[in-house]
Order: sequence, then structure tokens, then C-alpha cells
Amino acid sequence: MLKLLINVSIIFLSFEIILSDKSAIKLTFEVENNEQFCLFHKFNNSIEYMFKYGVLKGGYLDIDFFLESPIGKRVYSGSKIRKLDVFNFQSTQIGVYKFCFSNSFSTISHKVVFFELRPLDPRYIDTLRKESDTNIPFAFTSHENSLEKIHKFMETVSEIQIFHKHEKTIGSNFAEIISQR
Amino acid sequence: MKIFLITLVSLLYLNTVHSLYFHIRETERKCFIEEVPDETLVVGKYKVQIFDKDANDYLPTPHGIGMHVEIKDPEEKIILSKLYSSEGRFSFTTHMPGEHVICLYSNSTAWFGGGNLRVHLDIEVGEHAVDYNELAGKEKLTELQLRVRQLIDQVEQISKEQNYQRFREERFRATSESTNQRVFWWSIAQLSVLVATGLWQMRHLKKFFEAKKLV
Repeated sequence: MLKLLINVSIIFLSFEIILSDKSAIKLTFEVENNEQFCLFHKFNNSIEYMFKYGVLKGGYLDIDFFLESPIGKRVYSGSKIRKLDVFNFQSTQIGVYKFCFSNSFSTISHKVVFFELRPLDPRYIDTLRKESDTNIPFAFTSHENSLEKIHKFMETVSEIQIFHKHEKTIGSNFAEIISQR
Repeated sequence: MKIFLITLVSLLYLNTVHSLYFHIRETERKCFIEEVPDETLVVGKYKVQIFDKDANDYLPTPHGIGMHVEIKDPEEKIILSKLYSSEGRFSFTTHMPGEHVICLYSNSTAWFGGGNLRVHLDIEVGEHAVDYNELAGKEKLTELQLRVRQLIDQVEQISKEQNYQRFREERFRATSESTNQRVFWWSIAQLSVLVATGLWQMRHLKKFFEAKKLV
């Protein structure tokens, strides 16, 4: 009885560790003029992550950015980044990393910034199993294998779609600004 | 036994810490923009903690402090405006394609400034927002059926995004054409004003010289 309880609780706890680490994080927000906005993420494992960010609207579409590790070291920084910046980093220190976007050089324009954080390690990429939270630790059947392959290709399609969507957003935001002038 | 398991699972769910967080002041408002196509489910989960000076750490907020969630559709109409407690989950289905703005602000009664709040946030769009476990239970799907259902939802979402792109292109085209028209008429107007001023000036000068008996 006690053994069963312990087993069940271990399984549920492992579920929680899997559940609480959703793989891709995407957000779009606005940074006011003369302001700095920081996002914090707690990394529980030391794997490689891909981080992508860019300015969708506002001014010259440029923003300052820096990434600080839990010990305070600047892992990556860029000033007045105009393009859709993508970089990979390894979360070598386990803890809270700080992603800061700064619009302090601009006195009038608000910047709309999007960012995406995703693990590059294929073991941590969401399979269909993980996405449905039914991660039963059995091997994949051949049917499931094919479905997972389809899922992987669909994820690639989805990523490309989002990339194009961001490019088009920048274009149409610009067109609207011109139209208002 | 069953009750114990259910409470254990629910406790674990309540304890899931969303890994991404940011800080805002009590009276500040933070908005997030989600550009989504039509008929898409968007689910957001948040958890808020307040900075306690004595403990020098972020602790759960005292009873009564919650977060207002205000969601505006692309036409600036408010589609959801609700007050949740310190931990909440909100969801909505878009009826219009475009940029939806999700704003969070606390219901603190301070005038300005106030303490620092730590907000854990997680926003999922489309097929990522669906709870497949629940769906499988409700519709009694086998595992294979569930996987196929997941794939169907994903492909449907991709197709919706493509449709949205088409809608976007149309709007972009309309905006560009309207800008072009206005620039065209503006330049015609400027040209005619210049010509009119030139003609008037010539006539005025001619009259002036005739009056002064120089010509």
C-alpha cells in the first residue's frame, strides 16, 4: 500500500517536472520610451536554447538587449539591434536568467517587441505525447512514430509561418504609419 | 484512496510554477499583444507574488489582491474584463482576425507607485492551448485517436494562419492603395496651388506696373 503510494507520487512528480517545462515560450509586448523591460526565466537544466527577438513596430525598429546569467555575467548583449536577432546559448548556470530589452535611447517612440525562447535539444522538443500531457513511459509504436514524424514536419511549417508573419507584420505596421502621415 | 490521489494531483497542478516572469509596480499596467487568426482559442495562465521587504523575497499576495485581465479585440472593443485572484486562468476564442491585446493590472488601491509585483505568465495560442488530456477523457479517445486529433488541430491551425495571411495581404494592399491615392491627390493639389499662386502673382505685378505707368 505504502509502496504503491510512493510509486504513484513519484510518477506524478515526474509529470510535474515535465509539465512545468513547456518548451516554446513566445510573447509580444510593448516597451515604452526611456524604459527597460526585463523578463526572467528559470532554467532547470543545462541544455542549448535558441532565443529570437525583434522589434515589430516603432521608431527605427531598433532596441538594446542584454542577457544576464544567474551570476550576473552578460552572456549576450547588443545595442540598437535592427534585424530579427537569433542566437543560441547554453544555460550552463542553473537558475534565473534575465532577458532585458531597453528603449532608453529613444525619447518618443514605443517599441513593440516579440521574443521566442526554445530549446534546441531534440530530446526537449515537444512530442505529441508531451503536448497532450499523456507522457506514459512506454516506447513508441510504429503508428505513433509516423504520427510524431508528421508532427515534427508540421512544427517546422508552423515555425516558418510565424517567421513570415513577423516579417509581414513589420511591413504592414510600416504601411500604416505612412498612411497616417 | 481515490480522493487522496485526486487531491495530490490537484495540489501538484496548483504548484506548477510558470517559468517565465516579470516585475511590475502595483499600479502599473502591462499589455501583451497576440496576433491571432479567426476562431482561435487563446489561453493564459498567471500567478502573482508581491515583494515582501521583511523577507526580501517575493511571497504570495495577501488575500484581496488580484489581477484584472482586460482583453481587447483588433477593433479596440473589450471582450473580456474580469478580476481574478492571485492565481488565475483566462481563455477566449477570437471572433475576429488580428491583434488582440491582453492587459494585466492589479486591483491595488494605492495611488501611484506601490510595491513590486512578480507576475508569472504563460499564454498559449491555438492547438497549444487545448488540454488534450481532458479532451481524451471527455470524448473517450484511444491514444492513437488522440494523436491523430492533435495533428488535425495543428494542421487546422496552420490553415487558419494561412487564411489570416491572405486577409492581411488584402488589408495591406488596401492601405497602400489608399496612401497612394492620397499622395497623388495631395501632389495635384500642391501643383494647382503653386500654379494659381504663380498666375495671380503675374497678374498682380502686371497691374502694379501698369498702375505705376512704367509699361
